[in-house]
Amino acid sequence: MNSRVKWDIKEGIGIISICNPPENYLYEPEFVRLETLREWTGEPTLKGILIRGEGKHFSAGGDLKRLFEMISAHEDLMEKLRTGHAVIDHLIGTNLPLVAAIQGVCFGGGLELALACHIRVASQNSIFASPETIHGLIPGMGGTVRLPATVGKSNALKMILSGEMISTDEAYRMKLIDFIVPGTEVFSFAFSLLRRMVKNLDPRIINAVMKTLQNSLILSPDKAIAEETKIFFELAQAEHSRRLSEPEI
Amino acid sequence: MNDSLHTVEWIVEDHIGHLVMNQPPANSMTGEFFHDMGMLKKVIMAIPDLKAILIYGKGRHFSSGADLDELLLMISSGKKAWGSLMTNYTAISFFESLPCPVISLIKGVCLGSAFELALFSHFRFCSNEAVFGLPETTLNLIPGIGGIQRFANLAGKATALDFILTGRTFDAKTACSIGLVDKILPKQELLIKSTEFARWLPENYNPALKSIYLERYLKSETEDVRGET
Repeated sequence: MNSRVKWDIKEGIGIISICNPPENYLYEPEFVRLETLREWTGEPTLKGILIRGEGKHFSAGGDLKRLFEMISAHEDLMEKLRTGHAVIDHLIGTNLPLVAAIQGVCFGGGLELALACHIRVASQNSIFASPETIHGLIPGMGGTVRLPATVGKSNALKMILSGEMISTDEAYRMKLIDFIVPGTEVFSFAFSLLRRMVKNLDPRIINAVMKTLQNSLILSPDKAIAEETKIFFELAQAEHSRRLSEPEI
Repeated sequence: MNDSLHTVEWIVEDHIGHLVMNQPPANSMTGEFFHDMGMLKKVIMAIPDLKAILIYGKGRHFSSGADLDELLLMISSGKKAWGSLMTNYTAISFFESLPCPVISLIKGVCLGSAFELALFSHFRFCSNEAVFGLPETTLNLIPGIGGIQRFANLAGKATALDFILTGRTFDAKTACSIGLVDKILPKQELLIKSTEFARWLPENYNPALKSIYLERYLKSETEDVRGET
C-alpha cells in the first residue's frame, strides 16, 4: 500500500507523490499510512510540503471499487474514514505550508486533499470536480467544509450537487486555485514558490506563522488572539536571548 | 486636543476624529504610543456622535511599526509582559468593531504593527509612493497583532503566506491589486479626499456594505449620487 504514495525531501521541502497510475486513485481513505506519514514528517528541518500526482494526473479521488469491496468484506469503513481524516489533520498539524501541484484530473478525494493545502498551483489542462453525489455519496474527506470555505457556498453547492467538471480558468475565477501555469512547469513552479517562501526562515518561525493562521480559522476570536500573543511572546523572548548572546558588531 | 497624550494627536473636527501618530519621522509605535492608545480608546468609545475616524501619520510616513528594541526589552522583563502584549493588542484592535467608519490614510512607510493597525481600519487609502510590509519573520518573529489573519482574509492564503513568510515589502499598486488597499490617491489629496469620503458616507453606515459605498462614491465624483442606501 505504501508504494502507492512516495516521499522525498529536496532542499528542506517534503514531496508527497501520489503514485497509483494512471488515474492516481487514492486506494483507501487512509491513502498513506498515518504511522508512515508521521515518520516522514517528523524530520525537524522540514520547511514545507508539496503534494503532487505522478504522471499525467493529480488524482481521480477515492477508489470506488475498493470502497464497495471494503463494505462487502465488512471492513470497518467508519474507522478507515476516521483515519483518512486523521491523515489530512496530521498534514495540516505539521504547521508547514502545504502546496498542491495539480495537473490533469483533480476529482473527489483528490480535490479534497488539494483543498487541505494552503496554496494550489494548477496546469492549464487541469479538470476539477466533486462527483460524489453522482454515485449516491457526498464528499467525505472534508470537502463539504473546505470547498465552501474556499470558493463560497454558491460555487461549492453547484460543484457538489451537480458533480460537473470545471476547467482551470473557471477554477481560477472562483479562487479554487491560486496559480495557473503551463503543464510542464507545474511541479517546478510550485516547488520554487514554496522554496522561495521558506528558504531564509527557521522552521520554528514557519510553524508559528502557520499555527497562527490555522488558529484564526478554527478558534474563537478571543482564543485566537490569546494564542497569537502567546506565540509572539515566546518568539520575542527567544529573540531577546539570542541578541544578548550574539551582540551586534 | 487631549493634553495628556504625547505620541498621538486626537482632534475632533465637525464630528470627524483625526488620529495623528505624532513622533515623526518614523512615527514609531513605542510602549508610550500603545499606552496613549489605551487611554484614547476610552475617550473614543465614549463619544456618541462620531461620524468617522481618520488615522494618519505626521510628516512623510504613516509609521514604521513597533519599536523592536524597546519591545524585546519589555518582553524580557518576564511573565507580566504577556499581559502588556494583550493590552497593546486591544489598544488598537477596537477600531475594527467601531460603528463609525475608520479610514487609514497611508503615505510613506507602513510596516509591521503599523500595517496591522491599518488592517483594523474599515478603509485604507494610500498615496502612490507608499510602502507596505510585514517584515516580522525576517526578525525571527511573527506579525502578532492580527496581521496574519487579516492579510489572508483580504488577499487569500497564498498571497498572504508569500508576503508574510518572505517578509518582503510591496508598493501601493501591489497593495491595491491584492485587495489590501481600497484606493490610491495623489499624496496631496489624501487628507482632503478621505475627509470628503467620510462626510459623504451615510448616517446609517454599515461596514458590510463597504465595497458598495466605495463604488458609489467613485461614481459620485462624476455624477451627483448620494451615499444613502
